[in-house]
Order: sequence, then C-alpha cells, then structure tokens
Amino acid sequence: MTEPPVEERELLRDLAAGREAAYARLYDQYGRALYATALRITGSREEAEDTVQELFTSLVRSRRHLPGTRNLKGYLFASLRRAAIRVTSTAGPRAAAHDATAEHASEPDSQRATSDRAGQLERAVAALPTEQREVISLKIDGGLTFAEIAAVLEISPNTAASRYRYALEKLRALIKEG
Amino acid sequence: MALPPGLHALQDELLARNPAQPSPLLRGRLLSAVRRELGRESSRRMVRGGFWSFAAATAAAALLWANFSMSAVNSTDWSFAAHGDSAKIRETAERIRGLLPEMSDGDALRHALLLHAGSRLIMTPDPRRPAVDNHPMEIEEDW
Repeated sequence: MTEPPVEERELLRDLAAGREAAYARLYDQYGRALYATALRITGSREEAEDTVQELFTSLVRSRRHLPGTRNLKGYLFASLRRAAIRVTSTAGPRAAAHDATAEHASEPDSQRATSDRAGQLERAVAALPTEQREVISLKIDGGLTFAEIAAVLEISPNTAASRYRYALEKLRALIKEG
Repeated sequence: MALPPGLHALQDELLARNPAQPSPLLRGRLLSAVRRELGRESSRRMVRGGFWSFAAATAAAALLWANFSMSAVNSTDWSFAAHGDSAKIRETAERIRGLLPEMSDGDALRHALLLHAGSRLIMTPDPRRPAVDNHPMEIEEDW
C-alpha cells in the first residue's frame, strides 16, 4: 500500500487537528463530486445536501483516525455512502421521487435539445437498480477507480468493473426503450 | 477495462454532462455545522477535564491531610510523664542519657516512658542493670 501524497497527508493532519480551514479546503476539492454522488444515491437534493453535511460532521467526530487513512477519496466516498444510508433511513417519505431527473425541467429552450438527451440519461440512470446506480455514480460523478469503488462497496475490483459494465449495458437498453 | 465502442460512447456522454451542482449556501451551512461540532467537542473535553482536575485536587488534598496527620501525631508531646511516676521516668531518662550521651532529651524520655510501660518493642540497652551485663558475650580466657 503506497503512502498518500504530501498535500493529502497535510490535509489529513489539519483535519485531524480540527482546523476549520481544512474542512473548507476538503469541501472545495470534493464537495461537488460528493454532492453529485449523494444526489444519485438518495434521489433528492435536500437529502443529498443533508448527506454531505452528515459526512462532514461525522468526519469531525472521527477526525483522530484520519491521519491513518491511506486513500482519502476512497474513505470519503465510503463514509458518504454510510451517511446517505443514515439520512435516508431517518427521513420521511419524499414528495419528489427523483429531484435529479427534475433538474432539467427549468432550463431555457436553447438548451432544451441537448437537455432532452441529458434528461433521458438522468431518467435512465435513476431507473437503474441501486447497486448499478451506485457504481455508475462513484465512477462517473465521483471519478473513482475500480479499486477505490471496490473498497467503498466492499467488493472485489473485478466485481466492481463487471458491475459497471452491466450498468452501462442496462442503461443503453433503458435509453433505447425510452 | 476495455469497453465495447457503444458502451464507451455512452460513458463519454455520461462524463460530458453537467454534474448536479449543490446549492451555493451548502458550503456555509456545512462549515457552520463543522464549527458547531468542533465547539461541542471542545466543551465536552472541558467538562471531562474539569472532572479529572477535581478528582486530582481531591486526591492531592487527601494525601496532604494524611501526611500532616502523621506528622502531627509524631511531633505531639502528649505529656505522659506528668501523669505517671515522673520522678522515676526522669531518673531512667537521665541514666539512658548517661549511657548514650548522643541521644536527645526527647528520645531519652520517650525510651524511659516505653521502659516503664513494660514495652520491649525497641531494642535498647537496659540502663538498670550493671554495665558488665551489657556484654554477655565476653569470653573468659582460662589459660
């Protein structure tokens, strides 16, 4: 197992020391990807934001263990997944099933042509089984490698890769149907 | 992992689309939550620290009290001599001092008190017996 890069080690040290600026840096670096993944897992903008917040507060609580982390990105996404489970299990029934697919509804007409295709893609991703949606989200939104996805989902890298391929095949079939 | 061309194009399409953006307020909200959690932790630590400080202070006070008590007991003059046969005790003390001139008056008096109380807890030479008896191991040479 290789050591994390110097900047990452410094960031981990600052997070462990409880420096607020380090948490701001972490958000600036990973916030967007974490939110996009959380949105894909929860299907709700509100719950996705709650999930990212829950992740950050849980990081503060367990920050003493952070310097021992070998892969910060993998650790963040694994924690995000657990935070999403906590948030969705405590939240009540949602009014909108999938805010992610509704995001394109308010776009202007000039963007509508490309947006239609994007909307179709979003709906197809939302229709995927949870396991496949997760792997698509971690790969596409999170930018994780198969080894990192494997660590997050606690499966082998080969399973992660084949699950991703099946997800893409299923997605293509859904788009053709729709 | 090599993907077939059709799936590769789909992957590229997914990568090219604009990812969902969080609300611009999320950053501030999240950092406030972090600040709150850090503050809560430090106050919890203070409470824990306060308890241990109190425990340490109590233990230190108890040790100090025990130490002073022992010191007070050892240094207190209980004036036993005033109630007993003081003339005899004083005489014994003087005899002890005669035998052991380096002994202080206080120690001589204490030993005299112990001897009169019939105590044999402390090994001391018996000043009431003749000096020759203090050397019972003297070897008689008969040649």
